[in-house]
Amino acid sequence: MRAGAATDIAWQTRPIWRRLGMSSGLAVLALAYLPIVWLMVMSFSARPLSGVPYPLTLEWYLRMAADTRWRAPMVSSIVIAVLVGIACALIGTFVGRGVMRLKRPGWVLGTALLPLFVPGLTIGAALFLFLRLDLGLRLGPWSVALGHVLWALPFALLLVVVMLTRFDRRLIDAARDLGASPYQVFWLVEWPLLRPAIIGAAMFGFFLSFSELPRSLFLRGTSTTMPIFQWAQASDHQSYVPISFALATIIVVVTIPLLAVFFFIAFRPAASRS
Amino acid sequence: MTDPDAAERVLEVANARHRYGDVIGLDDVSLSVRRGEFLTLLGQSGSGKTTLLRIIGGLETPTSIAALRIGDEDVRGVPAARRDCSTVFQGYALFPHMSVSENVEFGLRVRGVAPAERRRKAVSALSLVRLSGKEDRRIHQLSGGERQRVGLARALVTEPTILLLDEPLGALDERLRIDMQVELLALQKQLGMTFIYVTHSQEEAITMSDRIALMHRGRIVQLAPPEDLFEKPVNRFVADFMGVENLIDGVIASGLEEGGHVELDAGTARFRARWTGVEEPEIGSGATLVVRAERPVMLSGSAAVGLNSVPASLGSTIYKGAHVDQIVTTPVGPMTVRVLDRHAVPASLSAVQVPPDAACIVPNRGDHSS
Repeated sequence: MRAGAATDIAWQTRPIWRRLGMSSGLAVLALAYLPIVWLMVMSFSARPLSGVPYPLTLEWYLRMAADTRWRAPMVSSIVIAVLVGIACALIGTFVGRGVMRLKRPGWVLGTALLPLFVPGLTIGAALFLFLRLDLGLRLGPWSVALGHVLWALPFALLLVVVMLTRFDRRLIDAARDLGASPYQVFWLVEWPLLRPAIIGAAMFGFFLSFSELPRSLFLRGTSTTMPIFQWAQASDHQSYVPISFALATIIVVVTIPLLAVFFFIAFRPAASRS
Repeated sequence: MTDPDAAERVLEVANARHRYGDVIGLDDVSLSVRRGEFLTLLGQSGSGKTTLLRIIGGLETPTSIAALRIGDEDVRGVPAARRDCSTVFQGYALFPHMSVSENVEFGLRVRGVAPAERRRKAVSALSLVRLSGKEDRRIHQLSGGERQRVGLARALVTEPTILLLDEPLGALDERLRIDMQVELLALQKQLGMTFIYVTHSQEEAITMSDRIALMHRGRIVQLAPPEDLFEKPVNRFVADFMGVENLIDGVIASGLEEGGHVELDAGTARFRARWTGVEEPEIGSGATLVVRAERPVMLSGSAAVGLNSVPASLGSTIYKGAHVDQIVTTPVGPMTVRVLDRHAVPASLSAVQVPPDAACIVPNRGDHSS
């Protein structure tokens, strides 16, 4: 037995496996980041669809700045994403805390997470059928937001629930025992300890909403979100593609620092004295 | 036991019952505690001691309760936050995102005490538990013993009438636990505060308590000063739980005599001893002779074997440091006899005698309430 165990370890620590692990990890990272970087580079290229960066130009950025068509979709996408993020944080926190107080949270959680595995187009079509044809409602940004909340909520819930499984319920008893009102228990004890999960839930909501396409297609009514707009432009007008590159670059450049700020807020040590 | 009279009574619990689904957590528990008393709720896990503590603290709502008063106030339906008691939790339950001082200040902060004032009080509470200078440490930088002290300071700083302690020393190692016992006791006397202390360790209960409420299956089996639990157990369960070494089962062979004695027939031997059961003994009912190891007398030579003595021969000798436990073999089973050193054991042991006033006879039933 001892010898066998030792052999296993030797097998796992053999240099070839470590190198394979390292290089496949690097390959995946490269696949994730290089195309984005390349897209950013090509947004400065005079002939972006040629695959050659040179000659460099700012023409597409100037064209984008002059173009007004993408602005309304961008604004509605941001507004919807912010609302979805807030909704996910709130609902995820309330529902998550409730679910974890149940004797057997497993079933409820499973049921709540199941919609993740239903294809987006199916959910979109089903919601369209239900809201537009059965209830006769006029679809618009609100229905897009609703579809996005349904899409992002399981992720948000999962985040909060994972954090709650590590949360010591006796801290709530202790706070109550020491004289804290339910409101104080939440803000002084639960919020600081669950903050990373709650902010994470909001971020998931925001970014899942911001890039969501299949549900939005069905639920948009007459409104347009950024992914719908870009998809339509890219498939209909080749001439728009370069502007789309510039736009994507701007989005990446704006979101990454934003993410960094969010992470900083979420994971910084709790504020010391109030 | 005599209950504290109304004037000095600081806690009254009457007929508390609690169920968890089909499981009975507390079965008709009544309790009265006087100001400044150190009362221990002693019992195995599942005996209901922690449930009772949580009901007093307001963290659990009993299924039914006839009275629950802290001081002069009826606290039934009063939330935990507004009861004049605080809890030292098992495993401390310190807030991990706050410093030591912030933890201690918590109770003052939620009461709206100004920061400078609460810091001052926290500093003095921390010096009370000998943690001066550690105000700004993070919780994860503290040892188990230090965390325990922070938990204590946090509960003390609001000056509650009653301090509830839920197995506070459970997570500490042996040595530290004994030091903390002494310290807790000194603190309780110094503050004159009422302590209600939950533990499963009879040794801890004996060391610290003014009175012990021994609990079993949701009931208080006996509520008495520690020495009474040894000297006057109400039944076999109490004697066994308190660690009385010699329990000899038999049946009642006589009615209650003048002076409170009764006779027990243990098959091959008969004993006469004090009856300490609550109800009158019934001839023929199961009973147990309870003899602490210090009490039997070892006889040698041709001592007469009759009432209260059994023929005995030497078994193994167990050296315990401060004393020696001599095991003797008798027809009623092995007995433990404690002597100060091994020279006190007669080489020609022939019998063991149990003086009638050095032992007691109790009902055999395990767990019926007093």
